[in-house]
Amino acid sequence: MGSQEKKEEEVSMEINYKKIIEDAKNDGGILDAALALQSAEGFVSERAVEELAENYGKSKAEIFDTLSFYSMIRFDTKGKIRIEICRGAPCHVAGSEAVITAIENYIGCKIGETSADGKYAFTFTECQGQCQAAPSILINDKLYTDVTPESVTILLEKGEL
Amino acid sequence: MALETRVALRNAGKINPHSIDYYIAAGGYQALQMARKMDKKELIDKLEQNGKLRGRGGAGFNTGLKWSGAYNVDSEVKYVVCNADEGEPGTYKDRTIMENDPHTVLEGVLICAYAISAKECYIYCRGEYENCIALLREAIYAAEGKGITEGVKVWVHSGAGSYVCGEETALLNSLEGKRAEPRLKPPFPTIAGFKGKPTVVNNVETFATVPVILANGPEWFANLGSEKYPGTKIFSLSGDVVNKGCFELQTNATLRDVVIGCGGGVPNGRKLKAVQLGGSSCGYLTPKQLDTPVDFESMRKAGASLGSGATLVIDDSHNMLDMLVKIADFFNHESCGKCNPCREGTHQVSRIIHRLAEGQGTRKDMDMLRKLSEMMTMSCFCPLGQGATTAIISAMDLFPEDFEARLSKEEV
Amino acid sequence: MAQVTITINDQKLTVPAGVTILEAAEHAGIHIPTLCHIKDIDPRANCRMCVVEVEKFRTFQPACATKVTEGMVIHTDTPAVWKARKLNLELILSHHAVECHHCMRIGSSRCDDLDPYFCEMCFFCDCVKDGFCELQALAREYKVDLLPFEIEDHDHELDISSGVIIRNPNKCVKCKRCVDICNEVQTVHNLCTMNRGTDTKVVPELGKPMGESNCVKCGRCVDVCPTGAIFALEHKDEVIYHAHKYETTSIAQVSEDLLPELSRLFKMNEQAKLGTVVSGLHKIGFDYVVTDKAAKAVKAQKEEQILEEYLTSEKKEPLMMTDSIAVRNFVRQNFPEMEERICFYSSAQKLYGEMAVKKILADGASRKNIFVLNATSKVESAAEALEDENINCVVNARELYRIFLRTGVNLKKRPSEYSETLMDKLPKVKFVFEDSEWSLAKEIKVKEIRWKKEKLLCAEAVNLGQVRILLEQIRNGDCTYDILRFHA
Repeated sequence: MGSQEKKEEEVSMEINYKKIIEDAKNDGGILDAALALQSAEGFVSERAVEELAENYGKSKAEIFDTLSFYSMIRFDTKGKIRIEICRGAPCHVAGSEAVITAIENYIGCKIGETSADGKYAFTFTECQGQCQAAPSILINDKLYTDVTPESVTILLEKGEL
Repeated sequence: MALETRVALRNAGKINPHSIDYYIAAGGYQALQMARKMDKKELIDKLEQNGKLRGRGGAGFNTGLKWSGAYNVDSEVKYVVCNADEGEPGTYKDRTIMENDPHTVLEGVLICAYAISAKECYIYCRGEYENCIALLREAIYAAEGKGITEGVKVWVHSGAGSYVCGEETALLNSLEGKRAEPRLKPPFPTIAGFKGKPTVVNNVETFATVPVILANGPEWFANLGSEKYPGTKIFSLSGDVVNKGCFELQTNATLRDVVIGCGGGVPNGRKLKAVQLGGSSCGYLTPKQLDTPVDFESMRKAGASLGSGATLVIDDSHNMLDMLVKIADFFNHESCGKCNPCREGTHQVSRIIHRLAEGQGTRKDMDMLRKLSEMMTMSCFCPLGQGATTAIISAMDLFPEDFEARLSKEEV
Repeated sequence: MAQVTITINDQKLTVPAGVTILEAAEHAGIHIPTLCHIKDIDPRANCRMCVVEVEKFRTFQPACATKVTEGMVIHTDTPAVWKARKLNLELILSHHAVECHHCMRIGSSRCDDLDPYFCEMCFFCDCVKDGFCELQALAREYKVDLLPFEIEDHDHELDISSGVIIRNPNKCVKCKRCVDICNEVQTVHNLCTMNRGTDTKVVPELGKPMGESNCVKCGRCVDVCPTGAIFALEHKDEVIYHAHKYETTSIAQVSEDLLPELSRLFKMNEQAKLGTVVSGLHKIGFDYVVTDKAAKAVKAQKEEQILEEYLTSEKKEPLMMTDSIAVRNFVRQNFPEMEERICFYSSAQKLYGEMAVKKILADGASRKNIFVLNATSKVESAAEALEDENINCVVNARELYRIFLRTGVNLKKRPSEYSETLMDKLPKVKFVFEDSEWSLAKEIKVKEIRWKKEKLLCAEAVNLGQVRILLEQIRNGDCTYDILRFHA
């Protein structure tokens, strides 16, 4: 635990929170800033919340209140590889159930859980708007469409995620 | 596709979306120039009364009338907001427009900005559409470079995974950096919207259509399609259909034109069971209703909705319950949690549907779904809760055999 | 003011334009149930209990937030509306740890079979809000009986970390009153909402336990919570034990401000006399019962002293004075550089504690055998008692009522007795600052006071939001008042 904390500290020291926020603010809003911080750190940390609070002149409670509302924002990471399958009705009609079963079989846990070795976390995500090429999945935020049970197994086996 | 009349999608596949020069060469920004020479009131009236454009997000409110609401308010500061938070499952028409022709959206926004004298505009685009956000920002930068924006600032703000942001007041709260909870109406956004100022909120497809209406003349547009809901509508097809993709048809087309004519019908020798038009918050149409015209009013008369134009084609290999599980879980997950009936109602609906789908449900459960639906449609704060059970009740009415087949053994 | 004519339940009414349906109905004596509503704060329309049928509207409208217009026709009690409200309540109760009547949840009794108010002798079901819970009152009104849903697991742990303000998330109905109060009125910005939908939770700062959060212990969240989701820690058993114990010399202080609530709880037609409360406490074993006259007089004397010192000083800046620990905590968090410029003096409770201990020690008892109780409804006082070794415990009117119930004290039947005194002669005070009550208002009340030929403008901040406004004025150097009094 001690060395993990030290690693997190090192990562925090490398991240220029203020610059990331200022750059995001030039083009967009607070969600752009939060997502940019999340990209840099893997999740939105307490430090990130403090920096956003300072920059936007709001309290930490208000920032947390807002950010915790949105599904794309995470406050921790579970599993090194995050697999998210679209829950939309069109993806269902296109055969997402079979893909779910294939993924569950490969990673060894059910959807909504993290695999026993901590490597994979498998959840639903909502309609990604790629219904012409359903079913679709996200692996560590990267989109894959027209997924089949066979193709997803190959993708996971390859491991270049 | 012969059945199509491409208006909002006129440039799709024909121009390079990264290049403003392509857009200009295709006639782009001429409508904006024309608009800037018109009297603002006249411009809005033409849109409202001659063009009769109605919002393409799903509510179908007369666009010119909306703009005139904001126009009539005496305020130095006004805003234009483009709702690009396309979250309705099955809908990807706005993504298609933005990915192929971002400038048409920008032109529509700038025309609106001129009409209501707004100096700041926001395009709120869902966070999952990173590509669209980048394309739009690129387009704005290019337009600024050519002086086309004439000092009007346009920003693209990202969403972060929340379907309720499709509701305009929730979107405004999100844009203001708050939780995306809807607001009480009145006051309507055109009177007090973004930061309390008069704001026009319109859908991507609506803005994409505005330049063409001005360029070709509002009467031309009013003559297309059906009388009360003129023009064209984009349908995004998905599911058990041969041709998936976006098709833009005049609004007097029928569902058959969309599903069979453009979509090519159901593949693999299976039979059509149902079409869900308008997304997960709308009901189903049966094969018997294929000849229903797709315009707003005709669909409403048929007990269905045009909604966003999302067209999910379902063949007879599916038991509706399995799909309803996904729909119920979707609304439960997307409920903002503000009001009790939606927050707790979507949760209990989800529980009941899971039981029914897993073979442990009873007729009492089905009765409870109806009771919850009746209450939620009347008591929920916003259209998310009000529409959360529409698909379920529709399926119960049209496909009772699917429910019967899975009832708990004790019930049968 | 413009008037409009509306119809509610077939009754024609003329009301000022722009009032809400709820206000108009209240005025006409028509009852519409509410849960999330607080007066003086913008309506949220979260709970949807106040929904009514309004002709020409497609859906039900929330009475708390819908403003009346000319000719509006409203129906507040149709069968459809009743059904909707009842189902709404059933949904809320399925996600609420119902500890007030276990029998209801086990499924045996209908509301009408129970004692109409609650069972006095059975203490098995014991929620701290039993009898005054707004959700319970609504459930009774709408005759909610067996719940037709799967009951949610109540697996949130009680948060007892603050020692005084206890949170039980299993009872939260997400009305957001506490969040609104903490952020908009008190501007402490501690409580916030986390997640959305079914996962919505009200949490202190970033999800930390209350004891580690920004909470300043003003206790206003407790004052507004309609259920037992946030409450002040109770000490009923401790109080009864020490009052009974022969070796303990026990003393209690009571105040007039307990009487309205106590009278209401005992369902008295007229307000109870303070002497009956004194008598009740004597009956359960308190050796001394005093009123707060002495403590208040000593405090007033101190305040007069502070005023005198200020008037004879250089007066570089306005006099800032407070006896509130919540204000002290608030200042430390938000205006730390100003802490030493504010005059913090002892509250009436602190003075009482000192005087009470002194008196009993003078009688020959030893400190560990003294039990000092203060009865007051201010939750902040309970927080202050944690830091004060002289006060053993604080109870509010409701807790006092519950103590009386358990010990058979019926205020209606008690004789009125005299209280003991802490001081033989009360100090003479020429000037007394008036008591102030907590209010949600943003506007700060300013009074002109005259003291020894000087005219002074005194601003009275009655909530922490007002305190913030005044302190910011001081920080910016544009405060125009002479005396600033801070309350939480």
